[in-house]
Amino acid sequence: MSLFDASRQRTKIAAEVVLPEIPVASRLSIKEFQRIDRAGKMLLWAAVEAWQQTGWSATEDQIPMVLGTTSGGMTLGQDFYRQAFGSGLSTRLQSTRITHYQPQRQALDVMDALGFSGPVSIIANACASGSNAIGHAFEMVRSGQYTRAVSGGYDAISQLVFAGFDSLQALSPTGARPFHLRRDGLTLGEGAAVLCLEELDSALHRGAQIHGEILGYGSATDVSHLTQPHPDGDAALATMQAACEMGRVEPRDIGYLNAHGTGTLLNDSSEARAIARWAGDDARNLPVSSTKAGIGHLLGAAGAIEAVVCLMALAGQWLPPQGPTDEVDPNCNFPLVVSPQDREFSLALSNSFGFGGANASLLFGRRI
Amino acid sequence: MIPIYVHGWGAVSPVGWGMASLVSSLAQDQRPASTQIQRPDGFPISVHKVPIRNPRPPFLALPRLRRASPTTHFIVGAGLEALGLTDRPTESKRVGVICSVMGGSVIYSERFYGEVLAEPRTASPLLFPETVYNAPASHLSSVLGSTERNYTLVADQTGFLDGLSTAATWLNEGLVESCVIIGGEEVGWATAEAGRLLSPFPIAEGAGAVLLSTQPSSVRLKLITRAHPFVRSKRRSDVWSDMVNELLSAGASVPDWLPPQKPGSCLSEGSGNLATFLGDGLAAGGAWATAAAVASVARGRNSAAVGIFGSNFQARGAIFVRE
Repeated sequence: MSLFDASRQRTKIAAEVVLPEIPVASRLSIKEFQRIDRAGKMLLWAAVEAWQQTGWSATEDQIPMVLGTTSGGMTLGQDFYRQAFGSGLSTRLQSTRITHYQPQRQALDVMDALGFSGPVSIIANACASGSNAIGHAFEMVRSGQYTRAVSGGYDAISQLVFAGFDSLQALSPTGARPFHLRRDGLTLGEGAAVLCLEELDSALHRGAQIHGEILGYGSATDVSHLTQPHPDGDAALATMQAACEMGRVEPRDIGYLNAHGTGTLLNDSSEARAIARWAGDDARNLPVSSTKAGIGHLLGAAGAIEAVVCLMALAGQWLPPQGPTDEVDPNCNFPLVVSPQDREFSLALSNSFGFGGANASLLFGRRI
Repeated sequence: MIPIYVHGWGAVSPVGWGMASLVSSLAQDQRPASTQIQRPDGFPISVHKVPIRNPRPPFLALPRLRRASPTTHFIVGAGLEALGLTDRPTESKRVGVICSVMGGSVIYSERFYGEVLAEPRTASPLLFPETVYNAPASHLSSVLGSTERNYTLVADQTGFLDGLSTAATWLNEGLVESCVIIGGEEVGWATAEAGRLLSPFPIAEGAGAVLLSTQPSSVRLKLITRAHPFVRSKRRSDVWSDMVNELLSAGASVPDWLPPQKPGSCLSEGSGNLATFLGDGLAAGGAWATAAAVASVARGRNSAAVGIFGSNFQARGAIFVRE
């Protein structure tokens, strides 16, 4: 951990992003870009990359944007707090911090950077935020309200959130080992991922490059506890069923499942039980991995970046590995993907679960 | 779109617990008393706090709410009132929940971060989960026993209307049987200081709620305007005018809402600008204005419009009509 002094924390590791020093090419001036905090900059990098792939240009049309985050510009909030405590009546920079701390400002920065406008929704459903955001944007297009939508998730590591997970003893001192029998917690990561969605006929009509399809979305609430999942994964089961029902597919049709798989004792056993209940005997042939083993838990960005992983895997016909797992939790009745594999498959499911019982699953399809 | 109806409303505000307190205070122009909140250096800031309810509402005795933040108390209080379950929470399993917040559970965040700076190894694990944006919404679903969809939206005062829009979509798609939308906020020193620097109104706390369903009732949601975000290509005065013109085109009689209002204004036809009355309730402000409009239609107005000029996000409005 180099972003702040973690020497007094129980855990001292995290998966940090190395941000480019140059500003991302956009309609924002260098001064405007510099005012943006670390989380907002990661969001902008991801949004510009996604937008450039679409062939879309600045437009007067309404394009909704749905983003997930757990903490927006928290690092600015921390700066605000420390100055209020340390500098008496000085309010220098405080107004700017308040403004840019809020995720709606970060979303508007993206619109200004890319030159579009439309309704913005910031979904803060803890670690399911990114999947909920993509699912919500998907439903806006699916319902015919809009032809296009921008969606994704973002979060930067902050001292408050890091210390929060550490206080709960949810962080692994050695690195996350999802579904390992002797796992000891998660590793926090940071980042952003943005997906540009377009109604299929519209995309086909203009000859767009299509990376994949979203076919289903399920969202449900686990009401058993604020921070702990139901041991049998009732809500996880409900979201996987709902996403597959919307996509009209059966568990046996799924070729890869990107698990929430945080590496905590309670999440992984609950999720494993839910997968077993949902897929039954078909789970034995369902490759599962948690890519958090490689990049950490990106909180509000997790569902979004894992959606990108699923789409890349579908497009490239490979299974994303989570690394060696020598002793697997006996609740897992599915094969873990522990090394890179080529595989022909056409459907992938992604799970995201969070504090407050926020649960979401997304179903993706290959587009040839 | 299939018609969407309003089946309940609720409020916890600086003038008291319950929508009746808000309605009678508005009618009699009884404004809330200011209280002083102190910044860490002792500098006092005037704010509008929710009065302590005596006796405490029974739902606060629920184990799940034992350590919950004031925001959660306000959100659950307003939500249960909208559901007609005041003081007697009973299971209501097919209710979607959408909460709108701007600051969220800031008091616990202030405390927790203070503990982290002092000694991170002893920072309370009980505080941190309550600082997460969606904790209040989660608590409400838990109190209701509802495993249905639950979203927390972060926005400014306009977020409540975004919540209405999302709820309308859920109801149209048949994803929930009914949906309670709540906007809630609590005031700590950091919020008070932020308000002192940026808001033209004193900062206020509380919550407001509305219950929507497709089952007919006496109040129908006629229109939610487009979102009019504060992108840099548009002057904010034009954004507001565009939104008001959309309301006027839909039959609202609100020409006096032009020219533009101060940031954070929450206008409710028949009740005026609730921010000048209650203070800037942030996410709760939009909820109070909407609940006031709905209540006025239920009491006999033919229609009532809501227009919100947010602090830093967008302008948005809605119209409710009597059936």
